[in-house]
Amino acid sequence: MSATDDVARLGAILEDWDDAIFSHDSDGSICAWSRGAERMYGYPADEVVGRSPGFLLAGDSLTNGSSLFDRALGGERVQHVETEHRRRDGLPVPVSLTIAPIRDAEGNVVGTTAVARDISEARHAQATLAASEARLNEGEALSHVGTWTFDVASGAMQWSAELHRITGIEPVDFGGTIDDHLAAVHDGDRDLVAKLISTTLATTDPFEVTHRLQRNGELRHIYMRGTAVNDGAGTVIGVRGIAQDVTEQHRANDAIRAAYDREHAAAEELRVAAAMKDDFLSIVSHELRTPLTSIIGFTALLDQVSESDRADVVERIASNAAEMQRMVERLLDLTRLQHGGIQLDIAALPLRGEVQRRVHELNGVLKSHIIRIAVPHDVTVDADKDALSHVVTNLLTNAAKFSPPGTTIHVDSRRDGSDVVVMVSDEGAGVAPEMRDKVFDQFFQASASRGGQHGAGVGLSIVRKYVELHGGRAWCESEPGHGATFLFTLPASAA
Amino acid sequence: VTTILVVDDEPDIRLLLRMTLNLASCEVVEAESGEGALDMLAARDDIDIVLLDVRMPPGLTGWEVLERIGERPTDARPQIVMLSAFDDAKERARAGNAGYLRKPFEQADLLGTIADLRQDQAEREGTRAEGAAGGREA
Repeated sequence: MSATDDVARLGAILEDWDDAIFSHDSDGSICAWSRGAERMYGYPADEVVGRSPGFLLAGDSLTNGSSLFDRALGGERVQHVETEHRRRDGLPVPVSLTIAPIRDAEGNVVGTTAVARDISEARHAQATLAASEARLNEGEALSHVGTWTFDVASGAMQWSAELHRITGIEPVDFGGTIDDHLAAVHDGDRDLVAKLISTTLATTDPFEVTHRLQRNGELRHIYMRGTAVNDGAGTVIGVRGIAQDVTEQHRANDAIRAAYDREHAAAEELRVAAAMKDDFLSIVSHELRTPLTSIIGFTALLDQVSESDRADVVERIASNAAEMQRMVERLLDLTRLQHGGIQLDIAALPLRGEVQRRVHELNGVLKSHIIRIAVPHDVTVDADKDALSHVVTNLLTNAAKFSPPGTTIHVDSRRDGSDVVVMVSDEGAGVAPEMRDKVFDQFFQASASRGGQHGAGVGLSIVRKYVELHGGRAWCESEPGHGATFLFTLPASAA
Repeated sequence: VTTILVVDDEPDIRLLLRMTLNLASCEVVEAESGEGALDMLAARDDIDIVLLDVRMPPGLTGWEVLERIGERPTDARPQIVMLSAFDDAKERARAGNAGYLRKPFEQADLLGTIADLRQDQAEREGTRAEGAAGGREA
């Protein structure tokens, strides 16, 4: 095959090439103009041969363009320079221009060959891509939804700009692997997120999770979703998904839930309080009516009974009136204790003397019992006289109520560090273990669980409240069937 | 003589009822619990009226005792008056055919209630006696 044939074949190929190919001489005038050039620029070869290519140049490329040809004539190779040319109809066409110098046997540049490729479609695609990327970016920023893609083959984890904002990790600080992604997740959730991603890779099942992360030392909640990406042939090649900062929603939800819980608890408290109050009123009125029945009934009998029975009737009236008075006193105590209207007047009180005085006062209530006071003579406590009186009275009354007539009620004390422990024991049925703390609850009624008489269920709650006002505590020890001991502590007076 | 069983866990209430009813020439026996009342009714067949407190912890309530008495044959059933310190229309309705006396009560209320029951009883006994006599005649 001759060289001429080669040139001809090459020329035929070049003629059919989509790109515009043209040459010019060392003097700058066009000497060859391909069919591709005719299609692209709209000029037939006979219109341009012999002309300088300056007519192709448009706008900004005027100076640039001519210097590109000049630079090629100067022996420089110009490669893939994007510039703008003008078609015959005046419309601009973006081109990627490559210009190669043509040299003779001695190496002198005798002309150039230029290849211009129409890149308007690529430009358009690029612009579209850029615009959609910008829109996506904007959308992500607005919705605070970031996107991520994990590619199995390369091990690369790609984050969108918004995900960098969400995590607070700058692109330059992000290593771009799945481990770098997991490193951003809170310690407590990291294993879970790793497991979800690997499960999706294995099963193609999508996942969603809300995990925590620390952003600049602040705990954030991130909603994350992931789906498997496959190569079209069914092979999973990665996972992609979104991540959204839901901290604010989380906080709002928490606040709503907390508010709801508070509301609910308050309503429940009110309901219980209202029910308690109803029960309490019913019980109190019942309890007050019992001595009242005796007072009214015995009073009617006063001038009907014989002289010998009259003293008995009077005593019954007096003791029932005293019982009513104690009930009213307890109710007033409870009200005062609840509203914090109690001022303690602390003094050193001889314990034995105080107990003896209460026993004497309660003669009517305690007359069927044997009272043993074992409190040593030298024990003194720092207490409010009225409060101590109420505490001892309530415990003695309680002991008498819940133990059979003829049994003994013991009152004793012992020193425990800086406190004095006072014990009031009875020989009644005792208190079941699960009731030992409940008996101190307000309105708790032992009657159903402890053999004995009823009451309004306020006595022991008053005891505990008074004792606690002194910094002491009150509790119950009991072996069912072997009586109960109620104990309380008060500060011992300094010697 | 009318025999009345007083059932109340409060000793003072039992004493009050005994003294008041004695003045009205009734014989009074006492029980301090529902269980004690049922024992007493099983042991004696001369009890005409039971005054029954509704609340006697920790044992049977007056209502439970009322139910047990209701299971007895009609002619072995004494008349019953419930005594309650609860003021409740529902309770009053629960007493049904039994009498109901709310604590505190006036002496006149108690004696009036007992007098009514004695009269009812006398009428019933009269009817029964007449019926029995009539039967013999026929």
